[in-house]
Amino acid sequence: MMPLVSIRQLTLEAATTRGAAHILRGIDLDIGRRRIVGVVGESGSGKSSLAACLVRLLPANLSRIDGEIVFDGTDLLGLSEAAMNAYRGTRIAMIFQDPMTALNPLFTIGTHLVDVLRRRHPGLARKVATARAIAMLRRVGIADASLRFSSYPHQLSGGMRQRVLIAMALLVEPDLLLADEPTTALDATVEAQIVALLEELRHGFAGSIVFISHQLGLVAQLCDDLCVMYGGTVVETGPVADVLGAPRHPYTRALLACELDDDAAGGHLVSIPGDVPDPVSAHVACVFAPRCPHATNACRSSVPALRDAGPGRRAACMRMEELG
Amino acid sequence: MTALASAFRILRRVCATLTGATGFGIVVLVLVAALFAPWVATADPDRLDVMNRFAAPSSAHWLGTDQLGRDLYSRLVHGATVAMGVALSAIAIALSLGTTLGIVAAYLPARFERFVLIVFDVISSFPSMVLALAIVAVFGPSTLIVVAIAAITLTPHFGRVARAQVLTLKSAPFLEAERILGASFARIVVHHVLPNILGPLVILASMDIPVVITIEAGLSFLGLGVRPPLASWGTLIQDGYQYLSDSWVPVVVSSLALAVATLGFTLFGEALRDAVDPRIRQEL
Repeated sequence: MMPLVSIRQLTLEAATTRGAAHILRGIDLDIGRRRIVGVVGESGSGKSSLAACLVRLLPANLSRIDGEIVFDGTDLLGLSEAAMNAYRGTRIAMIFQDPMTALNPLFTIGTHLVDVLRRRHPGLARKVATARAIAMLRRVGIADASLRFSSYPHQLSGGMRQRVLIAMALLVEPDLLLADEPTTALDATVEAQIVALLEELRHGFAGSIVFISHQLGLVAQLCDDLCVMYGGTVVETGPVADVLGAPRHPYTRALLACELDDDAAGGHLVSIPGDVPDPVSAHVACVFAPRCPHATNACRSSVPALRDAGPGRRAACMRMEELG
Repeated sequence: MTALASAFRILRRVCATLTGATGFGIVVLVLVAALFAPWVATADPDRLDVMNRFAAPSSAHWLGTDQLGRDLYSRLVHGATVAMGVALSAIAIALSLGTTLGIVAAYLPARFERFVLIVFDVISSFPSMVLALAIVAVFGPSTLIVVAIAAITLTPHFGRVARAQVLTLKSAPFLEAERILGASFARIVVHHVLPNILGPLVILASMDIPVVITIEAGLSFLGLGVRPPLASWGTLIQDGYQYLSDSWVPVVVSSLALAVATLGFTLFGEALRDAVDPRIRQEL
């Protein structure tokens, strides 16, 4: 079956005073139908830019965008603004990082939900929309749903607001749901609740989800596929269990080593030496080479291709066969 | 419903202070006089009674009569209608024009935005009296010209505040969320941006009303605004000033009316500003 979204050689550059910043350097990624794809990477690896490309809301200082994003047979990058807008809020929806600011403070929860529904289904009767919105609030675990329907955002806690945002996204019934670090702004207990909610909701959801996070643990728990990003490139993709069980790219291995482990309590935190690559530097070598313990001269002089690395898996390391 | 309730709440907070309550009382008084002038006045403001010029205050003429024997109290009441009519229409024009320009400027590319700002700066830095003299020289004095002059002078106020508000709001995640959920640009501006920036603009409007009242009175005093025989506080002061040697009453009472009205609107505006949100104080 054709994947829902195929991203091919997606390149994004922004103009800065120091020259062009390479935000994405030729991304290849498939998002399968009804799959949850976890996108992980450090800050600045291009995760959120990838999500921005999928809804085509790009930074104002954008100087170049290349490649293609084929969404169900249509290249999104070739669409007019009006045609693209027809995808937003109907076939693509998003859950945001900070639920405290993602709702308009002047409107009630109900207004937000009904607006989304009526944009999705023009001509839907207000009564029907209200009933559906309240049902959806209940489904995302808001107890006194009809009371909360007429509450204002400031009257809700962070966890509840994130539930409202999830309800908004689900009311759209999108083919593609983008979740950009939806739990980062929440405290740990609420985070666990939201993750549990997402896990529960995925069974009733017919679309695909892109789950952006920097926590491998979360991704392992929630996702089917994993995409590891580094310095604006995809370094490894594949089914979550396979990638985390036997990573083929040194960066994925290093990331795994950084995860907090219960038995390592008392030991010191593992970190990857070195810094994230400068986005302004030219793309002539493996982006991870400066921090990679296995880098050779070849790694520093040519760009490794994203190659097959087992069933359904791809990795961008020249030495993956030798390194095992 | 909730808007009405919160308006009442704000009004209660305005009246909680002595200055706010005084301001509110004067504002209500002026508005009632302006709206119901024919009933509030005791006589026709334009009826001449030359035999009875400079009559002292009496039960027939509460504040006496002017140089043509017209009832001074009734002329002052009708002057309120002129003052409020000019002030409210000028503010309405400046508010809508300034807000539109401010929002547009905030969304324009930097070059055009700078152009709009320079136009604002030029208007603000130009003395409004000189601007008024130039406009009156071309079009001749009339009430409409007074409204136009006041509107032009005040538009940059609203434009600057609106632009600043939009700039702080523009990158708000909830606006981006709306875009991702498919809202059109027009809908975002009208439905989400406008209501969020309206608060400070309304307060600014209430504080600009006395400014317009003094512009109108000043131009009318100079004979560049409202034309006689229409009663305006400015023309009343002018008339009284010319016959100061005959009677001090007209000039004093009409000046007092102007001063009290201006003071009332200023007090009300300041109380309103403080009542809404201490944060807004900085934004203005």
